[in-house]
Amino acid sequence: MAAYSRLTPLFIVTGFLGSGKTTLLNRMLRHPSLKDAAVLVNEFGDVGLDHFLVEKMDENTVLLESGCLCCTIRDDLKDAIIELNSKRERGEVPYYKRMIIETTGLADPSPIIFTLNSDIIIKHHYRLGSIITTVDAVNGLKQMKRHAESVKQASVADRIVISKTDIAEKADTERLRAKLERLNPSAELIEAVDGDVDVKKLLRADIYDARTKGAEVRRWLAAEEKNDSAHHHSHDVNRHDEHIRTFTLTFDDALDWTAFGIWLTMLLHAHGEKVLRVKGILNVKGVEAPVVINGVQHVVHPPMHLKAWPDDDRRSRIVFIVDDIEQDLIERSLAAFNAAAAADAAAA
Amino acid sequence: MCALCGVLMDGPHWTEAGTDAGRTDDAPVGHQRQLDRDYRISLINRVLGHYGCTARDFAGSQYVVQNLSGGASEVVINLPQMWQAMENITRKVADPLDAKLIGRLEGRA
Repeated sequence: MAAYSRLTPLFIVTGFLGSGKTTLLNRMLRHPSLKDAAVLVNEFGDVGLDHFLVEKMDENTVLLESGCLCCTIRDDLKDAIIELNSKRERGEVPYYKRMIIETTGLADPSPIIFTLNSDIIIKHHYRLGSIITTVDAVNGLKQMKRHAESVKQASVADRIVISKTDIAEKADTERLRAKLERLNPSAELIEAVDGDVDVKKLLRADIYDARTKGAEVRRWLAAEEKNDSAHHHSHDVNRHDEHIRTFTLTFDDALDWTAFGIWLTMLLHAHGEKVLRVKGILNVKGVEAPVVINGVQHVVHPPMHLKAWPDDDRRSRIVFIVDDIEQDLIERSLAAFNAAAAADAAAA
Repeated sequence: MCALCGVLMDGPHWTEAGTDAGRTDDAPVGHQRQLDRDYRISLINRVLGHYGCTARDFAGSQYVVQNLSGGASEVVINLPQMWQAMENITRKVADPLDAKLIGRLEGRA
């Protein structure tokens, strides 16, 4: 199997109904640097409206048969990717270097990620790039209040594109930005009118791109630091709706990788649906380089080394976005697993 | 797929594949791999002991999870499967946030 960073990156474009996914995709696909992208779009219902709105629909585009990518047709998604992959290998379609999947507005993105990570053929040819979520500046706050899917889409995002800022009240956009920064501090917020965004920002820099992963981790950590200090000073107990919590755990001593793996798999087994995002940088015993971890609900992407620590701080720092799980309990649990391993090592 | 037992192999789980997916040679091999497995099993058994079951290595590629009487067992290939097997066998919930489990691990430490 090729090194993870050399696999074809797969980007997910998600966002609530009417939040501008298709507009964004249309603009992205006009960009010259994306002429080598394959696109999987979703048909919702019989009309296939999204299909006709996306302009770049050549032989690299596969229309999925069912209405929703997230649960019932995961096999379709898997089959579509594998079929496109076969065509690429046979030279029946131009050799694409990245793939973009557009979800439905009501989709929970995590089953899609799970599908990508669970099929053996897909795993050997593709890796997750970034999750890009569109949020409407006019209606985003209301949608997040009323629809759990909308909160989840924003929580798991690596990049959040705030759309319709040209027609939204400035104060509404600011409130939305503040909400998103609290909900998912390490996601990059990008404002876009009519989907006009810097495509390189969206697709060219991701945590598994060898050229950009260091900068990406630095951005995570800076965002978390800012968020933590804002939180500590404001004592705002209602930060993220009523249930979503974002926090960073810091461990001074190096972590035992085996104990960490046992702990995280058990945590995700028991609470995966509530662990919306876990990512961070670990100081692992016996490993000189910092180790980057990145998970979305039940799925943990392969860990990866950074060439160097992003700053002088050598502590492990793990960011959690969780639904109704206490920070103290998670911290105490991981510390206990790690201490049990340390006790074993001391006794040996 | 294992030609002997028919288990479909899917490459090593991330917990067993080393810490750097950016390299193809990071996963432990040979003797080191077995040492890592033995260490993993010893830590797993600290946790499984709380639920009244154990795990042991099987052929260097799978694990056997069984209750203390040995009357119920399951073969699994990775940690996520192990927690499910433990629950199937013991009918208890595998939860690292369980205060009693945490207390047990803290006590041992």
